[in-house]
Amino acid sequence: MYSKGKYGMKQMIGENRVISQDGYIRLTPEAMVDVQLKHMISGLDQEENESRNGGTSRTRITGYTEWVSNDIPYISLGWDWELDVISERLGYVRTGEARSNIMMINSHYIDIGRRDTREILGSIIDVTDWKIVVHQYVTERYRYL
Amino acid sequence: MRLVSNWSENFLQNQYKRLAEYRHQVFVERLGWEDLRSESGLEMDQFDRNDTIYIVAEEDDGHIVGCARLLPTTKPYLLGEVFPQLYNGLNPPCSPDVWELSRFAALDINKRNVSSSQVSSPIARQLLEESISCAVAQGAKRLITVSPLGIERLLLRSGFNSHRAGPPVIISGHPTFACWIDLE
Repeated sequence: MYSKGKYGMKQMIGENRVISQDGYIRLTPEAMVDVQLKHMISGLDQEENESRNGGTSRTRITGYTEWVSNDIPYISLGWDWELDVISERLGYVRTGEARSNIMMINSHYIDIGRRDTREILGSIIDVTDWKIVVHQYVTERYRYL
Repeated sequence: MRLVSNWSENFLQNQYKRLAEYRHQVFVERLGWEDLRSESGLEMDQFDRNDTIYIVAEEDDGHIVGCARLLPTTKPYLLGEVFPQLYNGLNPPCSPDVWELSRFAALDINKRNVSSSQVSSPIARQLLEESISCAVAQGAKRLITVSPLGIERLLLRSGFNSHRAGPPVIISGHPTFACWIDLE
């Protein structure tokens, strides 16, 4: 469904979200919390890992992960992570800011800005079970390397 | 190292050939984009036209260490023709205010321990800034890029006002995005 709207002449209306001509999907933090994201792909930063460890046994590896919403317009969310492989726990840590096509808005439908959007996205990411999903995926993907 | 930017039709034949060879070495032989492979070892596609703008980083001896390509979105361009799905359901832009940045690489093929990333060189940011300057000189207010993850990271690290246009496509096992860069 398309309509004219505040952020451009053409917008696609999804559930609790709007995609504008500038490419951003706009939604409130509350609506973002309710978005169901599915894992798309995760991978290792092979170049950085090789240069850091010179081919010897690794104590820390880095990678990325990408997630996407189930319905349109698609929300795309990705971030980098680091794994401390000598930790007895699952030592995945999110590093850097979240990357996305999201611009969060407040209750007055005003953009809250890129920095605050990324900060909120990071907070949302950090309370999910992404580490388990990424670990399972990466372990399987690189099993034979 | 110097940065050279010009319309395709103004490049000398041997300069153009060296650029096409470099692109083949990076995108086909290094990154594995097999769809671009050619027997001649020269990487060119239908968007390499007389009105295409190239930005080339080269050493004093002419050895190329980086490249980028600019196209107006008012004529056929890569994202609009080949990857419209990266716009997340919106129509690909067609505006004199929007230019496309593609075939971006900052990689010295001759160096040992050559990276598998196309933006590993320290000149990546200079090349990006020069590409943006060229686009602005043509009236661009926004850029749309074909961006593997490394370029998206570069954009963020460099502080550009950029964001992805939607979910990636997976090419050779790696995510590739369309990214917007606001130039105003």
